[in-house]
Amino acid sequence: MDCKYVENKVWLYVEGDLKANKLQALARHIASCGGCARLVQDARDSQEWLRSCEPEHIDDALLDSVREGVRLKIADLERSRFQFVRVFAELNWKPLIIACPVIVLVLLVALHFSLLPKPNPQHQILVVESNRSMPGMVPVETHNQPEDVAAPHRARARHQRHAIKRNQAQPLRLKDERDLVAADQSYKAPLRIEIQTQDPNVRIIWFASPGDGSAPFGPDK
Amino acid sequence: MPGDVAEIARLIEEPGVSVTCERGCESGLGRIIERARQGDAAAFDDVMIHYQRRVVNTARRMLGNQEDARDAAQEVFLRLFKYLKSYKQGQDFDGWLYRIVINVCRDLARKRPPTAISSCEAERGFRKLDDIAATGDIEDQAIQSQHRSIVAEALATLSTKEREALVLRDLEGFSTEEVAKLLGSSQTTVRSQVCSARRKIKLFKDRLTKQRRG
Repeated sequence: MDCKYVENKVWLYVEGDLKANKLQALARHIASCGGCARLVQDARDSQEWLRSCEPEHIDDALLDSVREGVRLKIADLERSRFQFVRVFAELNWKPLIIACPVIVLVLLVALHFSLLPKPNPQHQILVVESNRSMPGMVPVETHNQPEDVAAPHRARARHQRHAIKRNQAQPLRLKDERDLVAADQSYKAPLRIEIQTQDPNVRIIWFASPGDGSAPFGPDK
Repeated sequence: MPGDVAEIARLIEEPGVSVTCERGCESGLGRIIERARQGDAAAFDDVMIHYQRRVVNTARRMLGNQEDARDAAQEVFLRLFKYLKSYKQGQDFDGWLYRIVINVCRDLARKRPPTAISSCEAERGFRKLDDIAATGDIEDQAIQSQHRSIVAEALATLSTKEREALVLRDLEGFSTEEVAKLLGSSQTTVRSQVCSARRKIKLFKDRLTKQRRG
């Protein structure tokens, strides 16, 4: 232990703010070192000087004014509390009780309408996958292909049977604008579906009621 | 009720009596606090009477002037009234109250920066008091007043944290552990703050003594 350490710890030493083993070690050093002993004595004097300062006598009038001030503030606090209670008690509750469910209902209705999906203002284009819509139909872009034109009658009949089965199993599906035919649902006009067959002179036109694409009126050549 | 008031008066007259439940609890005061907690206005008045001097003195040491100390004391008792219901019986009431005092003093210090007396002013006060000082009681009073003035000036040179730690540890007599709890910091921090504050106080005192001699 050196004098520098004592100098650092002297302020804790004089008030006993150190652990017992450190206190003992410091005490041993101070007993053997005159300089550190003077340091400790100075620190003790300073602490004594600080503590010898008696608390100032506080005038009774000042203390009375403190209490009076507190009482006034408490009275204000209580008054404001009672004022709130009085306003609460004086409220006319009958119309409020009636109005509350009405307000809640109006809010619920408003919420319901605000959450409804809005119709798309753009015209919807329905695209029908033509090779699945009716038996014997082929997509428009393939009707000029020579192999399709030259297909044997038996194969066509088989194809027609399969197509009928598929058509019964699956509703009309929208896929591609090329095959298609457009329908404008926003005007609530009957749905018109045109399908080009392999024969360029034959075109099938269907009309369906709006929004009921699964039940067309039937082929109309 | 009058008996309780008399007991409070006796406690106030007794110097150095601590009212903490942990440090030798006086059951009479405990009962009064409990009644105040239940809304008894007279009991709350008694609590104020019992603590007012300590609160004002501590606030004065923390804030450095009497006007602020008075405002702080009013705010402390107002907060005490508001939050007394949250005080749990058996809790250290002194510690609880001192926490309010510290918080109020911090709030006030934030609003109004401390009006520290410059060392020249302190010195002028010194000479003036030396002139006034005559004999007997007046002289003692003058010396004490002068001493208080220097200590107040010395405390004003400390940072807020150092001042809080020093006032609570050395002037209010709390232990390091209690101070740490009151200030919401560790014991190591408190030791460091107190150590630095004591060193600064000594330097201030030495400087002032030199000035007087010079």
